[in-house]
Amino acid sequence: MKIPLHWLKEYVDIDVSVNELTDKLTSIGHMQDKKPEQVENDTVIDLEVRQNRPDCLSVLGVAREVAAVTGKLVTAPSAQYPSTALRTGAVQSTNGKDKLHIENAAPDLCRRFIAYRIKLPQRNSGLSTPQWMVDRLTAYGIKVISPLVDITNYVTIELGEPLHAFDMRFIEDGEVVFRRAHEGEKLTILGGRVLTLTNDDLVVASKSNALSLAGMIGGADSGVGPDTTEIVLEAATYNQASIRRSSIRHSVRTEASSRHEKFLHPQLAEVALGRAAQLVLDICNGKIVAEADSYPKPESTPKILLRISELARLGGVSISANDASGYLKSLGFSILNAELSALQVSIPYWRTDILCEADLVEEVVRMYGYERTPVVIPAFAPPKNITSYWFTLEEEIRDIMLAHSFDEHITEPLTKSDGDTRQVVLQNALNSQKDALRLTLQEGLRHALSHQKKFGREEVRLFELGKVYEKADHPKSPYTERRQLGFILHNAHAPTQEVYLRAKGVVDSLCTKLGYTLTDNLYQISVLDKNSVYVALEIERYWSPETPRVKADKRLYTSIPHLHTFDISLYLPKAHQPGVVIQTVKDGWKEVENIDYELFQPKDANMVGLLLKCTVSGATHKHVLIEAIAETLKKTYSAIIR
Amino acid sequence: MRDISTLPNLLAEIKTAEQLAALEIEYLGRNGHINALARTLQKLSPEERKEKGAQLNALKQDVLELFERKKDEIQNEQQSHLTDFDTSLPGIKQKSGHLHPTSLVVREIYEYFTYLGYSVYEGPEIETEEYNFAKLNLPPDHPARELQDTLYILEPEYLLRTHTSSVEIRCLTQEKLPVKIITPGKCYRNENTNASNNAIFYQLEGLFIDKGVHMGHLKATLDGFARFLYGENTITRFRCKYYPQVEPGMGMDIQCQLCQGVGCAVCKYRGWLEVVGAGMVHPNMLSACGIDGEEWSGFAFGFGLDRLVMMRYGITDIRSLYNGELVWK
Repeated sequence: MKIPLHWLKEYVDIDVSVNELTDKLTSIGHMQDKKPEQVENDTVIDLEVRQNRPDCLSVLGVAREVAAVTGKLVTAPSAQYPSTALRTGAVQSTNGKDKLHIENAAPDLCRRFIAYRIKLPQRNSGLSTPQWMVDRLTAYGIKVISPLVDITNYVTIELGEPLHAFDMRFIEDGEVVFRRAHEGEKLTILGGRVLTLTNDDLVVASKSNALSLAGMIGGADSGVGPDTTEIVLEAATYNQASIRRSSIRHSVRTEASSRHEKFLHPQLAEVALGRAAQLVLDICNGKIVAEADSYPKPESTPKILLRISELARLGGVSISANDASGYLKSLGFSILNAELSALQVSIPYWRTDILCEADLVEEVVRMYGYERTPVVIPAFAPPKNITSYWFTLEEEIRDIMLAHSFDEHITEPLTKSDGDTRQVVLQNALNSQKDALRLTLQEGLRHALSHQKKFGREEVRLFELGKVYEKADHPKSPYTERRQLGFILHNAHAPTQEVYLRAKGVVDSLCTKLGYTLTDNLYQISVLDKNSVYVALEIERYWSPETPRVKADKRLYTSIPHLHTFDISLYLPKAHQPGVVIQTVKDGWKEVENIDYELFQPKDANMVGLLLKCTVSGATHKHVLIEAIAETLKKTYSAIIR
Repeated sequence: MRDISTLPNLLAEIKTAEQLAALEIEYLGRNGHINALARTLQKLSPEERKEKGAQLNALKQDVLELFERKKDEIQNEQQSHLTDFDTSLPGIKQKSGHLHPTSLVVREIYEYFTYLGYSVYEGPEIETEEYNFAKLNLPPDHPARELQDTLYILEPEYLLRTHTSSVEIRCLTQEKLPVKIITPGKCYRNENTNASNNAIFYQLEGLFIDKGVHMGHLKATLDGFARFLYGENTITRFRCKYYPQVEPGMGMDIQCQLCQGVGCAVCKYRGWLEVVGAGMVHPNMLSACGIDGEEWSGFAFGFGLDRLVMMRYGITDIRSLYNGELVWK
C-alpha cells in the first residue's frame, strides 16, 4: 500500500523522520515494502499489505496506526452526511419525481448497498478537480480523470471503501438492481474488454442491462462522462469470497477488488458514501435528490473481554490493565468496562480483523513493542521423543548410500500424466508438463544420469529417497503415497552383467548394514542400457517398524573365530544356473560365511566351469565339509567335481 | 667349540633374515653353542656350577641381545626398501557420495532443534482440505485456499499440501501433549516455474505446545536459532506479523549481513531480511484439534528451506535444486 506523506499528514501530526516512521510501522506489523519514493514534492512510503487488515488499505487506516504508535491523535475527515435516515439503514426511496430504488436480488452476497442520487448544476466536463486532490492522487499513482471519478477514487484510497458513480441516464426509472449475472451475459468493462459472465458473478444493473461488475470495475458505457449531469453514487459491502473468485475468474485486479475481497464492515459503506457525497457537494455544487439503502441484516460490532492475565500467559509480558487500556484506546477501541483483571472492549467497525481475545493480546503487545517483551529461555521437561521412524530410517539409508559412493538427488514428484490408470492426476495444474504425481523415481534419476553423461561423467552413482503416489481402492483414502529408494549405477566401461551384479551387491550390502533380510520382492532391477541399471527398493512396504532387524553394529564377535578358506571346482550342466548353486551352498551351510566365485569354460560346451572359494569360520573339519557340499551338488545338480 | 667373541664379526657379515635365523640356531638352538656350554656345567661341583652358571646366563643375555639388535637392523633395512618407489605420486582416490544440499541443511537445522528436545514429525503430502486448511484457521473462503495457489487432486477434498502446517495438525490430533516437533518436507503450489519460484518447495515448521509457553520462549528459541544458523554475531529483530494460524503473530528478521543494515538490493533496502514467520498457535487451531487453549499454549514457526539452501551453496536458480542437474565437484 502506497501512502503519500502529505496526504497522511492531513489526519495525523508527524514529527519523526521517514525512516523512524517506517521502522515504527514495521515493528507494529506494517512492514515497509519498497523503499520510500519521491513523487513531485511528496514522499511516498510503501507498506506490505496485511491480508487481515483492509483498514490499512486506506490512508486514514494507516494514520490511525501512526497516531497510536507515535502518541498522537487522529483527525478523521468530516462530513455532514450520511443523513440520519441513512444511518438507520431504513431508507428506500424518496422525492416522488427523482426516484431511487435498490433491488437487492442476492442479499446473501451483498450485505449492504447504499446510494445517493445527485444532480449537478452543469456538465461534468465543466468542472475541475481541486489541485490538492490532483496532487494526492498523483502521488499515490492514480490518474486524474474528472472530478466525479476522482472523488470516488480519492475516497477509496482515503477510507478504504471503493465507490462507484453511474450516469443517471443509464438507470431507468431510478431502479438500481443488484443481482447475479446471467450465465453467458456480456459486459464491456472500462478499458474495453468484453467479459462473458457466469451465474457466480455479481453485477450492478439497470432494469435491462448489467452496468458494472460489482465491487470490481465499472462498465465502459454506464460510467460518468463529460456530458454527465446526474449520477447515482453508490457504496456497498459484498461477500468477499465471491468478489475474489470473480476477480480471479476474469483476471480483473483493481483498487476496488483488492479491498472488497477482504472483510469490510457495512458501516464503512455509509461513512465513505457520506464523505464522497460531501466532496461532490463541495467541489461540484451537487445536490442530493434521493437516497436509498438496502441493509437486510444490520451488523453489530463485537465486544470482547480481555483478561489481563492473558497478556502474560501468551505474550510473556506483564502489562497493567491501565496501560493495556491506553494502548487499545490509542487504536480507536473503546473500553466499556475496566477492572484490574479484565477489560471489556468494544471493537471499532473498521477493525474487522479483531475476533477473539488473542487478537486483543496482539494489539496490546504490539503497541507495547515486540522488541521490548522479555526473552525467556524455555525450561520445560523435554517431551517424549516422537521422531518419525521413517525419518530415522531414511537418514541411516542416506549414510550407507554415501559410503557406497552414491550422490543423493531430490527430483520433482510432479510429472506429466501418461494415461496410466494408477496415476494420481491433478485437476488444475497450470503446467501441463507437471499435471500428475510420479509412479516411480526412475524418471527423475534417469534425467540426472543423462545430464551427467552429457558432461562426460563415466562412472555415475545416484540415489533418491522419495515418495511415489498411486490411486488406491480404499474408501477412506483414495490415494496412497509410499517411500521408495531408487538408485542408478552407470559405468561406461563395464559390461552390463558387471553393472547389474554391482547394483545387486549394493542392495545386499544395504540389507546387511541395516540388518534386514534380503528378499526378492524388496527390490526390482531394470537394465536401462548396456552400461546402466536402475534399482527400486520398496522400503515402506518391506521395512516397516515391525520388520525383524539385526543391526550390523549388534553383530559383534566377542571371541574371534578363525577363518579358513577352501576351493571347490566343478563342472555344472548348463541347465543349472551357477547363482542357484551358490545360494544352495549358502543356505545349506550356515558356517560358510562368504563365497567368491569364478566362472570358466571347460572343453565340454554343455557344461559351465565354476570355482567356489568358500570362507568358513570356527573350528571345522574342512574335508568333511567339502565332501558334504560336493556330494549335495553332485546329487542335486549333476555337477562333476574336479 | 667356537669362541663366542667371534659372534659380532659373524653377525656383521650377515645380510638376510634367513642367514640370521641359521646363525641363531647355531648359537641358541637346542644343539647350539650356548646349550653345549650349559651341558658342560653338569660335570662341575655345585659351587663352580653356580659361578659358571651365572657367567653363562650373562653370556646368553649378551648373545640374545646381539641377535635382537641384528634382527632390528635387518628389519629396518628391509623397511627402507618398502618405499623404493615414487611416493610423490598422488594418492589413489577413495570415493564416497554426497548428500543433496537440502538434506545437508535439514541435518544442520535438525542438530539445533534436537539439542533443544524437538522430534522430527512427518505427514502425508496428499492431504485433505480439513488438515491443510480447515483445522488451521483457514475457513472455506480464506484467500490461501484459492484454486490458483493450491494443486487439487479432487477439489475441494484432496490436494497436495501447501505447507507443512498440516503435519502440525496431524501431530496435535494424534500425539499426547506436550509436544515439541519440527516438520521438514516437500510442499506444493500451483505455479508456473521460474528462477525463483517452483511448484515444489521445502518447508520446515516447528511447534511447541505445553502449559505456560509464551512469546518470550518463542523469541529465545528463534534468536538462538538465528545465531546457530547465521553466526554468533547475527542481529535479530522481532515484529508483529500476520499469519492465520497464529495469534499473536510474529516475524523474525536478521540484519542484512551484506550491508550491515544500511540497505542494499539483497534486503530490498530494508536493512533486514525476513527469515522466520512465527507466533502463538491460534486458539481456533487448538480447539479444532480438541485442545483446551485455556490450559495449553504454544508457538509455531516456519520458513522455506530452498532460499536458505540456495544462499548456502551459491545456487541462483531454484529449479536446479530439484531437476536432477546438480553435480558435485
